[in-house]
Amino acid sequence: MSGAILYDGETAKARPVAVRLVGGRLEISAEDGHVVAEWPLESLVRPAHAAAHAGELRVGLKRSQALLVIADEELIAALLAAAPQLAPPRRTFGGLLLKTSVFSFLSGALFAAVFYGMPLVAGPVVKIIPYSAEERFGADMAEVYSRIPACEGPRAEAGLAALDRLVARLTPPDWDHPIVLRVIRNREVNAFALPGGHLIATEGLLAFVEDGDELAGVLAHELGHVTRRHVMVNLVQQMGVLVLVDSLTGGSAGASGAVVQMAVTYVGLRYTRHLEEEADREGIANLLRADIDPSGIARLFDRLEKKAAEQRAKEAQEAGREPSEQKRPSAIDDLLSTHPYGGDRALIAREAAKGRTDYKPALTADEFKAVKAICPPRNRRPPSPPSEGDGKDENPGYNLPPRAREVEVIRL
Amino acid sequence: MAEDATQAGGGLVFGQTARARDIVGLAFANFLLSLVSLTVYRFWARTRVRRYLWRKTTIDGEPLDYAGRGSELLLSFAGATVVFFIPLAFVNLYVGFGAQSMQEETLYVIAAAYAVMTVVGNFGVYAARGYLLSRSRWRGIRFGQSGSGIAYGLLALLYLVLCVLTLGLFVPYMTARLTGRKRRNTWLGDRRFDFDGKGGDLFWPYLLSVLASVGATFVALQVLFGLLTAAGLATPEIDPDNVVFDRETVLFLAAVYGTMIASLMLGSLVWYFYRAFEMNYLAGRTSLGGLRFRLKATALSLAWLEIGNFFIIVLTLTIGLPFAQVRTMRYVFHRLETEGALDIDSIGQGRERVPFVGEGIADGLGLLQI
Repeated sequence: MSGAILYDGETAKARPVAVRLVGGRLEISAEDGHVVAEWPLESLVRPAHAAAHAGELRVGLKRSQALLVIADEELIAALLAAAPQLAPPRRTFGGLLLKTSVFSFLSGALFAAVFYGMPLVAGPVVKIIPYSAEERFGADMAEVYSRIPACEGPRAEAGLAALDRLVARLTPPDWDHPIVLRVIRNREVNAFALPGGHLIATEGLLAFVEDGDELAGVLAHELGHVTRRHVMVNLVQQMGVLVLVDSLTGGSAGASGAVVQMAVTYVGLRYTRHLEEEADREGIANLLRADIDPSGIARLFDRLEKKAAEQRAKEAQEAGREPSEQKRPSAIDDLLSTHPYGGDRALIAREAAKGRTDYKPALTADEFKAVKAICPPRNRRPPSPPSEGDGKDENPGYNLPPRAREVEVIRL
Repeated sequence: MAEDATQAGGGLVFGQTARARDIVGLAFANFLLSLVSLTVYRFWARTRVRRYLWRKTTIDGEPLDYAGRGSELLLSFAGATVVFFIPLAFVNLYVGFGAQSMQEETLYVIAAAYAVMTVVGNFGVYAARGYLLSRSRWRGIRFGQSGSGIAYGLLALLYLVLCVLTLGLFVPYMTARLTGRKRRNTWLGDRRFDFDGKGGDLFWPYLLSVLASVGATFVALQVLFGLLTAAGLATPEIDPDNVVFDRETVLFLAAVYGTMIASLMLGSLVWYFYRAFEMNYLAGRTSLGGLRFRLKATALSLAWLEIGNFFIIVLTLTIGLPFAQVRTMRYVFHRLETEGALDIDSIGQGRERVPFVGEGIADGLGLLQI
């Protein structure tokens, strides 16, 4: 007989017992010999601490809190043979591999569902949001941008009027909400749309375009964003995915959660590119409807790509690397950028431009000149030495913040 | 055998034999599977770690049993998502759009949201604790927790408001009261734990420690800046409009930040004295029947534990989280003792209803520690 301990699950009292494996059950008897309990083998369970102590086996009983601690090696061996569910779970590398594959597949399916499902959901959700709410939201965002000085004033009036006419010409006839265009003082070549029909173009863009058709292409693209309410769709999509992923990984211990978040950001970027491609299509449709030649925007894309390539080459040269011969950005750049590669966009625009010869110019020569005059040229001064000056801005007329002056930054 | 370890006189002896090297494979497997499963595996990962930690903990030689299951945690999470996290997402959306305009009603909504989150977060912690206790067994006897999590959450909110209103003076009282509430609702079988600690006992040590920490930080800042100035590193010419990152500037910035960090570290080291004192006090005021607990934490060992854990977790990019948990368990149980006697044999099985789920909220909010 083996010295075992029984905890009957009713009290914490440790009861020395003797245990025998008999027939299909464990026979548990007290010190005086009378049988205290009989546990059928099939009702035995392996608790989490079954192998806590070497040389001991702890055994539980189904639907009971009772616990039996057996110390007899022979009995343990016999018991493990008779009741295989008591054996320790075998953790093999193959088992790990299988679990990994199953979980990968399931989570891949989940990921795909979010990746393809969220864009489908974001569109209808935005349709529910009334345009008045979007206008209010956009007005608030525009408020923030209004702190950036704009190109305004009597000399800019003619040019701005020309732009407004162009915008009206490009707007789809069934869009009956106002579009407000603003030109801000910023050297970047950029234009973007805010919710509620706000368009913002930069001084840099106006300087970069070489004719009215190019500028019309940019405005047509931004109008595409406006009429499809892309900013709202993107916001809903991003917030939706963020919220989903945040609650899914809420309890995760850090690293794996972080990787998941990164994957989600990538999804967000990809979806933004899909919206950009849609805006390109809308833009071309707007141009064709207004009888404007899409080759203009193609020329702009080409020049932008060339400029970007030059910038990359310059950076490579400064860093001592060989400027790569390729004209396409590397796969990584392509992956990370929110816009599709300019060369591809130019190709699509040129294709769309074929087949018609009755294009009219977007702006007359006078109008284009007026547009170019919207933002007066800045006073360009050489960088001032650090020790001089009392911090006062010495640029007359426009009260630009000190950052607007050229600043030399020596990289470490 | 089990009884050999029973202390003469009826006290309890604690043992903890977990080792980090035992679970290296487990830590990696958990990380890998969590990654490929978009962290859904974390419920099973957590369960496996707990099973290991529990069975390596012994009371009078008899190990603890963890009877929880990953599927229970998954279910709890799913329930919490539907009932709480999805509505929360919609509130976030509303607040996110409204915050742009900073309208008055949005501010009220945000304040209400913070209040609700405080209540829910504390409720979640209480419920998670209840789950953990109810799935832990010793000698076949279940631990348990009674009391309402919602009441606990509301109380926590009230105390938080009091802390704010008293500029933090209420904190030791809050600690004592919340700890007491939790512990007086903790059961081993049909035996209830008791707690007779008072905030007042903690108040002066708390106040002195706050002042000492702040003072230490301040003094360190002064001393280190003095040294910097003496070494001539403290005053380069910098024009904020024309920042030039030369060697001198970089050294200066490094010196400044280094000084600030070092001072903060010194301040928090002083604070560890209070933390150890508080831990020991709270343990000393906890009892089970005629048994009183005693903890022997010290400031330096506690600092070593926590700072070490921090680096372990950070340097292994959280793969090493289970190692930190092992260290913590070892620390607590190697320093835990009892005084007095407990009639173990008469402890009966708990009759409380065992909660079905409980960790969903705490898990989703990232409040779980083990």
